[in-house]
Amino acid sequence: MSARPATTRSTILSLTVSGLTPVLLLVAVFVTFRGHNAPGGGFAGGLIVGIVLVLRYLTDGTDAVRRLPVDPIVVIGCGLLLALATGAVPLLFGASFLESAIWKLDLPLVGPVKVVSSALFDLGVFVLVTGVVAAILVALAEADDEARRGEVGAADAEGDDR
Amino acid sequence: MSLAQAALIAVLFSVGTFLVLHRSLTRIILGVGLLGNGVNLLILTSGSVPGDAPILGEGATDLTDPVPQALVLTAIVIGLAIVAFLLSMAYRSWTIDGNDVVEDDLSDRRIAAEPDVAEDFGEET
Amino acid sequence: MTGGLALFVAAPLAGTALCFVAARSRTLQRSVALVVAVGVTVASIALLVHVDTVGPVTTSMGGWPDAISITFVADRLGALMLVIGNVMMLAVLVYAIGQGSRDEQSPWYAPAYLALIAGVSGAFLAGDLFNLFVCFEILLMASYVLLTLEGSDDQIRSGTTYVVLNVVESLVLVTGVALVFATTGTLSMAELPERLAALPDGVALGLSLLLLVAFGLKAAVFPLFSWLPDSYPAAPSPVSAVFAGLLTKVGVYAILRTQTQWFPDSNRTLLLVVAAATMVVGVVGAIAQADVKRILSFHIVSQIGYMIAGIALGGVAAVAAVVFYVVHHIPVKTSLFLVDGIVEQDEGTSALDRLSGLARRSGLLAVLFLVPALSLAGLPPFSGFIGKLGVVTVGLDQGEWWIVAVALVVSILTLVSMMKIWTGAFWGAAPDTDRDGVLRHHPLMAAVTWFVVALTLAVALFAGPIYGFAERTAADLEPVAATPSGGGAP
Repeated sequence: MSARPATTRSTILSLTVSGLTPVLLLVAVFVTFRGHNAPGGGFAGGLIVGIVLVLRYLTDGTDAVRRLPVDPIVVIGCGLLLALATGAVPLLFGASFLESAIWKLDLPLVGPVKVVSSALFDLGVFVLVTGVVAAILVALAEADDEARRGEVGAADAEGDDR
Repeated sequence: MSLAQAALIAVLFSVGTFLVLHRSLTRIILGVGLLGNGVNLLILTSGSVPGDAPILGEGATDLTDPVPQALVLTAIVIGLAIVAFLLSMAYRSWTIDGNDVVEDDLSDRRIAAEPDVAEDFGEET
Repeated sequence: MTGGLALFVAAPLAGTALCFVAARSRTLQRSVALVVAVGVTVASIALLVHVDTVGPVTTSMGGWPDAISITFVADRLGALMLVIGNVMMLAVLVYAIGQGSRDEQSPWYAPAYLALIAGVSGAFLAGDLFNLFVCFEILLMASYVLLTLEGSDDQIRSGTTYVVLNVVESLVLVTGVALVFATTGTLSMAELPERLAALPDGVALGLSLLLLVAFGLKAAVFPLFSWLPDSYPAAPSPVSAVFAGLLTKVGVYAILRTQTQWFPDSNRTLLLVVAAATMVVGVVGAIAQADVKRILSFHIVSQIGYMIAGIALGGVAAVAAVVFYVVHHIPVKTSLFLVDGIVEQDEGTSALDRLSGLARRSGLLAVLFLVPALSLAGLPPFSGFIGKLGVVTVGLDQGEWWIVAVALVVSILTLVSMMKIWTGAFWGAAPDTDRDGVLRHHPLMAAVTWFVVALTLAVALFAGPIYGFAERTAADLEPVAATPSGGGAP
């Protein structure tokens, strides 16, 4: 559970994870958007991003989640808001909650494309799940750092991990 | 429901129940995971016979029942949240006192060990 | 109202999301929570009036055909519970802001509280069994977080019991849901009574017992109550106030729905015995305890017994009594915990042997405690008397004299245990304190407690109209009615 000290980090794992990261992120996006008609969806996609974060945590230790550009709590909030907004917008048009609109477009070069508004819902779930995994990792990292400080200082550090 | 499914569900339920009855939170979490899987399988078998993908308007006639699949998806997500919460709680418990054993209710024990509580009370009334 | 009911769940969840985004600012979080809670409360009162005068409201989601869409249904019972629940949660939210405890300062408090509102509202409006389960899960997850927010040793220890037992309860419930679906092919609350009635007796009995165990654990009835007095006292006072007032009653609500509408005339003896045992064990436990919060927690268990007794007796009169009892019980129980919160805020403890002479230091606080305490015990001018009278009358009418005897004895014992708190904490000489005078607490806390106590008095004062409403609700729930939960043509 605890992050490895710098000396025992595995170069092989590190390199593999660096190489895998962009691939996994791409897979996550793919899984999210294919979820409308096939197995997949925002939840699975978000978890794949979560796996990337966990792998990073394993290779880079607590630094990996310290460097996050945004607070995971905010990410969770944005995802939930997006999902709920997708549900609530149809109400403005007199449709029922969570009702999905479908547009069939014929884009030049790309060909016929089916766009559904529920994809936005999936995107919201995707963002939310990513945020949740990141929040869990940040909490773990804080507890980890705290424990290490406690060991070093031999002081009974008391505090909340939330 | 085939016999194999039924047997699998039975095994998952029994092993899960056995683990949940332990005092160690780690075992309880494993038990909850197994029980959850057993329940999810049970939900899947609660629909009718398997058939084509239940997408309306695509010409398929022999549809499978979509409801249990929707239920099972929801149940899986809820299960994930619960296990994540239990794990964080076990971790917290471990950082506090170095183990993850579920302890007795202290206040209850204190009262049980105090023979004069009932007598005191008798005098008051 | 195409999407009206969905907003009762979606608005608090949107509030949760906004609170996450505004995680840095406590003021912003509080404002969002207050705005949402006030909005939902006002809307639920409007809904109650609409449902009572016009009729049940149904909302389907996603534009799917009715058979496979998620539906929310508001009938009299659901709307009534929704109003009480939201009023209580709003009151406790204001109280918690006044108290400003360490928990309340956490960035997770407001989002979790709003999620709790969403879950409770959803549970009262759910139009099918699986949604009921999902809403239970939302409110349970929120309650897990609120209960263990501080992460202290004590909270983790008692929280573990609470969480593990409730997780097992969820698994039992979802097993029940799966088996109900397997046997009847539907989960809609409107269709289930008919389909369940067509099942063989043995199958129906098994299903009813499975659901009874699941909801019974949530409601803390006799063999399944042990988690409650252990876990509630560990939570901060506002949280335990809202748990005590509401969460077990969500379980009672579910039992009421399932037992009266789906499985009428079954399990009568079992429920009566369970009810009697719940009453007795709860009150005896309360007498043995030496801490205000723990005594009050055992009282919850004991009071649940009265509601279960009413459900067991069955019939319009009994169900009306139960509905009134729930309406009376929620504010009474909440206000007792709020008073305890004020005491704890100042004294730092709720142990009886460390408290003394509170009445001398704050006469008003003593009144605030005494009114709901006497009401809980069922003394005449207060609302508890009317609720108990209803249950007892039905018991006598149906010739179940022994449950009446148990109920009356337990009532006296409740009074005895309340007197234990009174003599221990409020009576006697004030301790040799260097800061004599009134108890120090935030004026908002006192104001909210006054409001809730006034609410309990209002329940007694307007007992006639409320009882009338309870009788109309009970008539709705009768299994002979053509559209039991109003889920007919939308």
